[in-house]
Amino acid sequence: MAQTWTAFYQGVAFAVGKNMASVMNSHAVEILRIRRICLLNNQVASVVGVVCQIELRRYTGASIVGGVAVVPVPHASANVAPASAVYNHAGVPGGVSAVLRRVYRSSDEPIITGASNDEIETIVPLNIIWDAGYGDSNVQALALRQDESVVVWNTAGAAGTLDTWIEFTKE
Amino acid sequence: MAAKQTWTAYYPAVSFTGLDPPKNMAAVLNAHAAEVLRIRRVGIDNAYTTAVTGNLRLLELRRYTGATLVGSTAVTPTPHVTANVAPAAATYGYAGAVGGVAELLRSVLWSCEEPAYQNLRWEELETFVPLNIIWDAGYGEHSVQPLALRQDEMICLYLTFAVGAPGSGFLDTWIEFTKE
Repeated sequence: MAQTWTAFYQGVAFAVGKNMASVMNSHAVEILRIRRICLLNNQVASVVGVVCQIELRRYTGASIVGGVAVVPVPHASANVAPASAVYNHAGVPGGVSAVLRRVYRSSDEPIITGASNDEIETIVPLNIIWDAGYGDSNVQALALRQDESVVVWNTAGAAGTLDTWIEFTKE
Repeated sequence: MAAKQTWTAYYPAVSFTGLDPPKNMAAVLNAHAAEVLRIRRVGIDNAYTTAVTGNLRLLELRRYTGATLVGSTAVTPTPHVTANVAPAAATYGYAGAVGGVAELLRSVLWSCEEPAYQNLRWEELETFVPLNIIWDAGYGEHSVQPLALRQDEMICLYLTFAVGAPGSGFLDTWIEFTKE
């Protein structure tokens, strides 16, 4: 099996036109494969929620400028980290983007005894937005070759926060 | 087993307009004599964020043989690996005129009302990706064939019925497929 990491982007504030979570690979040889991406509503403080719309994008000729770095957690602590990868949110992505899918999102906080989309957004299996090839070796996972990135991009909505986790492997 | 070259074709915000005749909301047509495209998964999604007078829509997932697709609006599939070599003779598009012999795989009833936050109705359930995969035959189960598109065969998500104004609402569709 391939060396695997989970990058977790916690409590990232929604803003219009914002990178909510990203992974960029700059290495000429290593390939990072995006296995799963999940969005979660873990906001516990009250907020005036709004409608958000998120795009999952893959960039080629990619760059990311600025932003807040995160450190992925290796699934085995002996893993050797990718040699030239960047993981961040809020950084400005560049390059040529392709939209893989869009996702509607409520940014309102979940509440106990509630059962609206805010609460359903807290349930992990229901909020996986990308898992191509997971459990099916016939299907390619999304690959990040040199100067390619995956970005969870918020196009609309500017209240509340989002958690994202990105599970990826290195080959 | 090595993974096959894979693409995701994405058809964003396709209007539900045009019930006379009914409308192709998303299609993949393979015209190549040797290449086989296999449809791994099809997902639909309500990603609509502005108010709309929504209503019922009935979608049919169809496979066509002897297929044609004329005058559609093209989309460009995204390769899962940028080194993939695109299918040599495939068409990806929505709208336009579909032709051939249709075989119905399943129907899906859909609300085209916009989702709203702090709600959990049909429209909001349509926003969750895992709940809205409408085709995944053989995914993770190698005893089962995925739907194959041989020469002049097409998969098409077809709008066949609407209650209320046909001009309202939009649909996002993604089709994940491989080439062999």
